[in-house]
Amino acid sequence: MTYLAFARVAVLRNLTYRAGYWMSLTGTGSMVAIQYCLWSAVYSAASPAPGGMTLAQTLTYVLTARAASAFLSLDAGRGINQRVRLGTIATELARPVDLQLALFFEGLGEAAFTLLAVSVPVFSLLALTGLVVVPPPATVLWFVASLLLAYLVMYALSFAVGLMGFWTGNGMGLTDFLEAGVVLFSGALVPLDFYPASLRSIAQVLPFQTIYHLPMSIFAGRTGSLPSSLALQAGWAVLLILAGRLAWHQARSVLMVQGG
Amino acid sequence: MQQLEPFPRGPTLLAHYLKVYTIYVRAGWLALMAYPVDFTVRNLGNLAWNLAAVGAIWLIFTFTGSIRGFDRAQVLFIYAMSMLARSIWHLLWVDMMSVGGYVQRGELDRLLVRPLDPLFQVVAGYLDHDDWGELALGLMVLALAGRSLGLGKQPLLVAWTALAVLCGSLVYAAVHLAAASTAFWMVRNSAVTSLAWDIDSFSRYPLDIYPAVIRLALTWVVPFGFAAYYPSQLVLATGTHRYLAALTPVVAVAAFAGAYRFWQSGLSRYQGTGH
Repeated sequence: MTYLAFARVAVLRNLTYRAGYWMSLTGTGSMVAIQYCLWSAVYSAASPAPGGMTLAQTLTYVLTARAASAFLSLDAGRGINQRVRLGTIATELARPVDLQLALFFEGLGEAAFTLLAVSVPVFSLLALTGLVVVPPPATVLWFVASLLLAYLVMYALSFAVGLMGFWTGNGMGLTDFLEAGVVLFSGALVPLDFYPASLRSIAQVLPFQTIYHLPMSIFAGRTGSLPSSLALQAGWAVLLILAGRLAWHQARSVLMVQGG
Repeated sequence: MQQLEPFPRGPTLLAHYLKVYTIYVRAGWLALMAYPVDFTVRNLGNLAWNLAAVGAIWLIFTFTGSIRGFDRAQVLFIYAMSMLARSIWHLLWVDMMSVGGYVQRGELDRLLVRPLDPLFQVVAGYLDHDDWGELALGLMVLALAGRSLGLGKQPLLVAWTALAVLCGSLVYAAVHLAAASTAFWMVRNSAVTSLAWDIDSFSRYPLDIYPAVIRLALTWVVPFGFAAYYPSQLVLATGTHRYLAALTPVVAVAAFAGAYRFWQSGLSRYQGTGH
């Protein structure tokens, strides 16, 4: 399949230029260390189990989220921003491929590399040292499926926001807004169980919770109905991918290539 | 034929550098303002991202009263000091992280043939475009947290905080300069520079949350503890480590001097990567 070549090239590029790899590894490692220290400190003083979560559950949730964050990145949108800013998007559009699909596979190559080279090693270390409590195999399988759906939602969101750069000329700041939304409403840093009720009800109607909160809750054994979690994720993924597809057709016609 | 001005020395040299620096910064600012909408959107995005990170701390304090004895205002005060110190370094001096790239591509040669200090050219030549949101938010959070800590009636402590933030920027500069200078020995130094980039997040929280080995490392090896935590101890009523706190300016200057020496010894063995 032609499009797998895009994924392969992305993997090879990562193997050759290691600057990005180091960034990803040191960033993930530092965040894991800080979050571990922070949450241990919070629990040492906290009133009985905030949000009904034990320290072990919270660490499992938060540290697994940090390990996965390298894989669940917003690079898809940033990649489009970069191409629009540099003007290379024009030549890429002229190629006889579906660019949206090509970008997806390129992103998949990147993500597969980061998953295997950063997320899995960091996670394994956490699991071996017992900082993260690994649930029974059946739950792990549900979690893996949920994590893949989370990737799709993140990718689709990032892609759609990246496309807005076609209208504004530069989407870099827009991707930062998206990242802010993810940080606040996905439960990436603080599990949604700890949120005040009003904020939690906002988070529940937004797509962001499907990226971190649902998969990490499954992994930490905090989810009642697994199928309905995954169905919600799949629903958002399909909706956002379709929205991206629609916007893509619109965006091609408004693209203005700057400079060169 | 036009007579060349003699190259300035002594106090005139300092004035000369100040003048050139003003020209560099003005040029950098004009370049940013060439795309005012882009500048605004990016920095609002940067502000939103940082606001979300501050929001995470705010959320933690909705279900706990204190972390290792630090209450909400105290944690936010340290966090804001660290944001400010980092953003000042980032806005003015971040291009020192590109030294590795300059060495790899042989672009450092271009800076060496000009009659200005090469490090000065690296940092002055680039005014950062996307961290102004962090600066603005840092100021706002510091003002709010400072007010609830009762700083309003204590001008001396306000002055100390301002000095400490500048010292904090110098600590940031020292660590990143030392990390960047490894490029002279290892050429591909992205592992070192990205490590420095990421461990700076440790400066955002009270050091009391870390185990002893990390606290010692952040005090004596990579002195990010002096970017916010130690100097804040003179401001917080519950502060300990007051001697170390008072040492902040000394540590900052010494760290930067050490890093600058390291940079110079690297520069003296630089031979270009060949073209």
